[in-house]
Amino acid sequence: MDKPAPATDAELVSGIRDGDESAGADLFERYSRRVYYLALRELRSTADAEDVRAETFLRVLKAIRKQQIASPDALRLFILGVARNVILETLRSPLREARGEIPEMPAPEAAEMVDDDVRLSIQAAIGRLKPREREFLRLHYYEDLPKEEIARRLGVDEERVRLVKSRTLKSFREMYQRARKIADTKRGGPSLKV
Amino acid sequence: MSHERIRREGWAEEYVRRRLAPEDSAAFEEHYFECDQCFADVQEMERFVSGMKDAGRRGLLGGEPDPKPVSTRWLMPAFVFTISALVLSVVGLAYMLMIRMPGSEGRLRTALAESHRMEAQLAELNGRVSSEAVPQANVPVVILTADRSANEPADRLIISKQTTEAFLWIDIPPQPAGTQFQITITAADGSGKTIRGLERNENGALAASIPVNDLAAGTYIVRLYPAQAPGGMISEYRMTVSRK
Repeated sequence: MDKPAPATDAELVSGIRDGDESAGADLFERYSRRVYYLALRELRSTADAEDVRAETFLRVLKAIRKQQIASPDALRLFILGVARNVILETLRSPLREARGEIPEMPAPEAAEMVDDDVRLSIQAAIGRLKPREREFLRLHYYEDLPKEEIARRLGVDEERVRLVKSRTLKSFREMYQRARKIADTKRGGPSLKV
Repeated sequence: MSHERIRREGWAEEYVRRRLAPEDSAAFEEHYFECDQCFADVQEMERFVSGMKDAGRRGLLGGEPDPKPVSTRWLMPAFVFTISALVLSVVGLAYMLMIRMPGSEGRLRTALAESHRMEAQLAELNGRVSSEAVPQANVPVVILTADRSANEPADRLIISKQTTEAFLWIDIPPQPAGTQFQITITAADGSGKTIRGLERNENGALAASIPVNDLAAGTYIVRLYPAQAPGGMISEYRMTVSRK
């Protein structure tokens, strides 16, 4: 039997207004990862990102129930707008300033994005590169130089830099998918000890 | 802004690296809030770019690794304090022995020898604390792939000092249920090891952990055979082991 088509945003809004709890859960399922990612990107704190996500959905659900959303089809833009406001409020909050986090300072790297699977996959992907190709990537991602500058410094074509990036990303993607499978296996799959 | 243009021009990477103009960045956020594919691209790119920066910091992309913060620095004041207290005790003890028992040089020597012994013990204890503070290394994994030409680099397994075992992963084509496999791992000098009784896991791969004590740095040939017919090799892989 075919799976039922997912509800549209307008249907979710209508369901929430009618008191359908599953509609609220579906709305959260659809947009919460995006809100969390946006908040983590700006705030670089998982705790703050979780708070932003919770606060955003509280406000969105309240607004829907109070019929404050003029066009249900524009729900995603409404959620994005609320999330941006909550992020700004968090950035300006005295609590965050008291913790010594100054919004104007450049954000540190998102350590949350670099888990073991990412490290393993990156290591495997760059293990397939020649030393000169690794140098491209170091200049591009670590030294943060533009392609033109790398091409000039290393005396190679810009297209070559683009190809190395593209090949490494493809390799990373394959390795990451495998690493996730391996992680699943390690967590309880039928791995063999020898 | 069209989905095609976003993907063609690689906006996901520019967004992740914060190189989009503010208005483009805002427009892209509006787009990926409804586009599953672009949101997946952004998340993948975030992992990739963060992973690359991490690899750069660790010196895996060439260049020098960033100096690591010394996590046991807090031990230094305690160590200095302990040594100072020890030296003062020794001086005090020596003073007492010299003044009160001028003829007891032998005992003083004994006391000094004891203090040296304690110093050595303390240093050993500090060393032990430092090494215990290092977290257990992750189990390194090597994914063996057969689809490569001979002049491409071999699959790499990097083993750190803390590692006791490594994880071997080989994707293999579908085989009849219950098929068992064995692999041989052969070093350049011809010495080798055979692992028997392997079965495909639910992901269609062979996965096994191997003790790293058996793996010196170097290049190995890994051969996969069906257990029932060990003469008929299925595939062959090259694996480079390096230790850091």
